[in-house]
Amino acid sequence: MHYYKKYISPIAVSLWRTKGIIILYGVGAVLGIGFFGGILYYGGGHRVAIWLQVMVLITMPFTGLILFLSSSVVALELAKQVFENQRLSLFRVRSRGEIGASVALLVVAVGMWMATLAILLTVLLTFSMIAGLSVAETTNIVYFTVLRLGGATLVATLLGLLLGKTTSRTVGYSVIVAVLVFMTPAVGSILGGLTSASSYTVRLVSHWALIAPFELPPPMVGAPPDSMYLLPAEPHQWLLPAIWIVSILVGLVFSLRKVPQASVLAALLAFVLMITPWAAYGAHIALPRVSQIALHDITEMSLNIDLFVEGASTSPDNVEPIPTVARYKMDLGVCNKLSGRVTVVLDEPFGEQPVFTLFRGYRVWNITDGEGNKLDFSQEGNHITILSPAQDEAVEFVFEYSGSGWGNYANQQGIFLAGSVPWYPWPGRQRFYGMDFRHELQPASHILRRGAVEEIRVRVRSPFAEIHTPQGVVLTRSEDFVSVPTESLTLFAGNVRKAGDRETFVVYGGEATLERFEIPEFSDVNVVDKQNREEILERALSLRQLMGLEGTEALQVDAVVLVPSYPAFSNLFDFPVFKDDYVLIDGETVVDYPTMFAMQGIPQGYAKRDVWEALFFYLNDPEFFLSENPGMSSDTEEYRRSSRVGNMITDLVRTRGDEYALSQITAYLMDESRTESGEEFLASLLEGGEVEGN
Amino acid sequence: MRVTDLTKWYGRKRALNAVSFDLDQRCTALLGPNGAGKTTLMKCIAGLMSPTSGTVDLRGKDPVVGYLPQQFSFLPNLTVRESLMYLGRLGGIGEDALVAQVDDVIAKTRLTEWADMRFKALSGGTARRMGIAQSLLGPPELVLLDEPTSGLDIEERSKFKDVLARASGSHAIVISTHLAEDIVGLCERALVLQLGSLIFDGAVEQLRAFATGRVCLSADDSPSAGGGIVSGLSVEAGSSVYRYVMPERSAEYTASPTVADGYLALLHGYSDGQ
Repeated sequence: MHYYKKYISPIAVSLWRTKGIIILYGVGAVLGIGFFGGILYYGGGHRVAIWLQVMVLITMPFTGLILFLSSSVVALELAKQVFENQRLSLFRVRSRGEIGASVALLVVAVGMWMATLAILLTVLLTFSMIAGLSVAETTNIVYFTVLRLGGATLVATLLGLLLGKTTSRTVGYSVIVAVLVFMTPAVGSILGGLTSASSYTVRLVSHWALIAPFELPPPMVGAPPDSMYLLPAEPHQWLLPAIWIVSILVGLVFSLRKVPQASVLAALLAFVLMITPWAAYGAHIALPRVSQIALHDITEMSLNIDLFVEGASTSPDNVEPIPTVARYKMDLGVCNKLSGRVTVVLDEPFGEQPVFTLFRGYRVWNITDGEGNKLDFSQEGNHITILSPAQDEAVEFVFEYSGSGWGNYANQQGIFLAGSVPWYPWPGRQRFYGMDFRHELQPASHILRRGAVEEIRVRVRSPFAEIHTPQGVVLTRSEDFVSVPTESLTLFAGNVRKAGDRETFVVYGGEATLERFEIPEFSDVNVVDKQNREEILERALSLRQLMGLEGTEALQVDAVVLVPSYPAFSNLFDFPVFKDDYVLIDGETVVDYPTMFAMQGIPQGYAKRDVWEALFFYLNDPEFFLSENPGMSSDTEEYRRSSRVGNMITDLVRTRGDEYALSQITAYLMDESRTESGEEFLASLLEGGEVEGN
Repeated sequence: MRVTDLTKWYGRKRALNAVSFDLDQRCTALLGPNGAGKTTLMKCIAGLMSPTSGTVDLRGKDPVVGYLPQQFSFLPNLTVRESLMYLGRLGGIGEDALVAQVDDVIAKTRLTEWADMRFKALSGGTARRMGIAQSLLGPPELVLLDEPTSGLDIEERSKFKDVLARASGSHAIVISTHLAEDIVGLCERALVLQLGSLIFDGAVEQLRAFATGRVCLSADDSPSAGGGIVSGLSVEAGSSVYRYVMPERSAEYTASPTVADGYLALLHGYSDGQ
């Protein structure tokens, strides 16, 4: 109290009475928080959890930009008011007067920062409640907000204080403007366009952007729902702001008494640290690849940017054949991180250097073959290459790995393992997320093949509350693992359903999410209604039979996870509904082809897959199919974005008629002895050749 | 209190050149033209700046120094009383004595009327008086006032002299100024700096004596003989009357010299024989 009265109170009172500062602070807060709150009000107003989270992510860079500017300017003016001109000498001639005034100023400025953050979080929590976010989701976005907006505004506040005390207004504002310019998406885009930055420098920029949100990262526009959940907060995310804050504080300490040069140097150091990522980006510094330096330095954004930059094949027709898996055996430990021992048994030998896909947040420690022989391997990005299989015909591999996943977690609300991310080794070199919004990439749809998993054992850290899995298995406090065989699609993915004693209800994403969720194209679908789901599944099974596939196994209703992948974005940005590994079915239409293929046991690398896909498309909506696949002679935009096979089917239907085309195609698909590609098959039909076997 | 061989370099520019003098309880004027090194010397004495060489011995472990910077300002939205209370607390004055001291300096500097007014509402002269008031808190053993009258009008300067006269006696005061008239009646001793060197250390009357027999009044604005320097201008019966300090003494120059005349004579080297 004495300290407050002696040092802090007079400065606080003076600042409180200073209309200019209060107005400046108020305008910044109203603009920043108002923008944040306004967008959240829009998102929360839909009472849809994912809407709100998307809004948070989209608005954050702009909110951060406004708050960085206002925080740094307010802090600079605060410092100027106390120390400008020769006022500093009045403090310095008094014993500890300068230290007391500096600390008081720091306390006042940090208090204003905390007030800003508190208001931000209040707004966030209010709309989170309105939107019905679960505790896990709310914790996630709070953490995210504190990390980004909180970190950025704290850095801005301290930088403003340092500049205000040690430099002139001209220099101070120039530094702030320079930092902002370097941080804006425009500069990033220009630099990115002018250079072919290495994936690591891009990643470095991404890390930076995670902390100080002045870039609107492309993946945030169109990221799958998984990425909205529980983003991993790794130490590196704190490291850069920690360095900035420490360097600025060192500068403030040096600014006490008679070492102004040192404080200016510290301010310059902080500034250089801030723009270093951009400088590295612009200079195209060839830094080591992530797999060699820090596997854990992964963010969901860097992942996506990396995919974007690497520019691998994007044509569905160029996908490498992917071997099928005969059996998986998984032993997983899930908490904030995942550790796993996974046995993969392939249907047939892979070749000399088998490649597997595993999200690179996981570090592979050991790989052995089925006989326990240790195998050499390399882990590069999301791919693992077995360098020395014990024998060429090896089909069994045992992976031991651990690390941070893409939103994986286990807590009292359930277990979440993102269905679209390889948290266990997928065979082959697979791309698991495309971001060009044009369906050119092979969509991620590696779902465990029916019967492919022998056993999944998931261990979670005790003591947790009871965890209910989609399979209806209850994990109590007394147990620390659940071991279940699976016959269904995705074991744990998306919004996990919690099985109660008698009734089921959604535990992840909040009931309100599903209750209020409206799929734009299928607004009448009530995804909560169990009867509706049963009808949907019946429809799926009838389609399965329509395709001539055998088997009558019924899918477990409770095992089907209904997660709308992209419809939330559809209205906003006119992005197409993305194909993902979830079932989106209404009474009439199947819209998720990859999932349907997976349901029917058609492997990803299956040579006839493209024909299957096109056929499904045609059967669902012939008219739409023909408009999207205008035929081989077309030169329209539709032609350019559609597949060759689809256009050939259009030509076939138009020249030979619907009945003929479907009968020929079905026969081709059902005949396992037919090994020619879909294009070869269709070309022979179009040229008038008779179909073999018919 | 003793200053010994104080030298200060700013890069290649020497601001102070081996300046030495003693200070006593009298009011001392530090005179010098702009750029002579007055502010640098004041800052070195106040401990705000480290000299390149030389020492400032204030004869005490932690003596209280009151300092009025050349451009005084303070938190604009604190009142005079709040500001003085704040600065008093920072100066280590106990709460018990603080109120009495603040009242005392407010009275001494004739600020009672403005005590509850915010700093930003004060006129230049009143703000300067508040600057003097804060420099008297402590109470200080040494008060350093850097150009306290610059920018003040005649009335404010008069008030300022009155305030300082009331304050002097219990403190050693050093007033830095380039206006010699400001110290008349206020200081007994004068130090004159020129180009960083101390060229005079003596009584104010000694300074005035440099101009004895050198001051003449003339209507001519360009005296050809002797190359005198203008030290003043007045208008009498509609005509301008110039006041000159002449290089050579003469029985014809009968006008009474002022301290400013003596100061000018000293700066221009007209001090032969004195």
